[in-house]
Amino acid sequence: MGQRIPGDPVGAGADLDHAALDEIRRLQVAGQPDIVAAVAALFADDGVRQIQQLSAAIVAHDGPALRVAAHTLKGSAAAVGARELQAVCQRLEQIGLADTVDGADELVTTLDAAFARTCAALERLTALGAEAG
Amino acid sequence: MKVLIAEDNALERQLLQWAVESLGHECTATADGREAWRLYQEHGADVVISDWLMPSMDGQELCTAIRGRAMSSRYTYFLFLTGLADKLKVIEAMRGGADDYLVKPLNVDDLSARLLVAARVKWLEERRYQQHAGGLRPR
Repeated sequence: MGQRIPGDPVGAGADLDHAALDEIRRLQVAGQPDIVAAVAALFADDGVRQIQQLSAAIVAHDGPALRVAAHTLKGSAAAVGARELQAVCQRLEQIGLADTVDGADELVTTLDAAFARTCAALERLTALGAEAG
Repeated sequence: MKVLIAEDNALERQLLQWAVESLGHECTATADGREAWRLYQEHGADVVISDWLMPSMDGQELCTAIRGRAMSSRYTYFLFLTGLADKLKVIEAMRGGADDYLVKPLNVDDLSARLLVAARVKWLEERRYQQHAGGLRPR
């Protein structure tokens, strides 16, 4: 986290790990829409749904469901290099793995903030790509 | 090769599909193991890349189902997707019939290496099949 991304002089993606984003950019097909924009949209849409599922699991005191929701969001976070979000998801997954939701509620605020920062960083990178393109 | 992906995370599934296609393979992707099993039975696959934790049918069940098919059917190279923290599961997965694994998040070079091995195994299997059928004479 916090590393300057090559081609990102203003540090728009400062909340993200550049290695993960570089890996995604390798999949860009010439002449096709910006892959970072597509990933940003998919991450945001899917992430909102995953957080809803995670919150529902906490309300229902359903540890296994918390584990699955946190695991899924952790995968998305890792894919875009959102290390902070990934770490919070890891903690929530561990709680669910212990077949409980104790302590999960306190982490949701941190999770929401990390998710919002990741979405904002991806949006900034998308805007930067649009300007450059 | 024909590659079938089973991954319930939409973003990871999409990235993996793009990566497989970028390496020149034909790719079908689905969100759960049961649908993957249906697609496999209907269309077959040279390679299956599967997540571990999925709704309705998990990756290990999918692997067991594929390995349980008649021995006369062509070999399918089975790759598990796993997180770093889940690496202890890898041996268990290999014992269950998986050929190899990929660690998440996706690295295109790692995927490329695995698919090269898969293509070699498929080629050897095809040659053995042809020899057995009399299509090729042993030297």
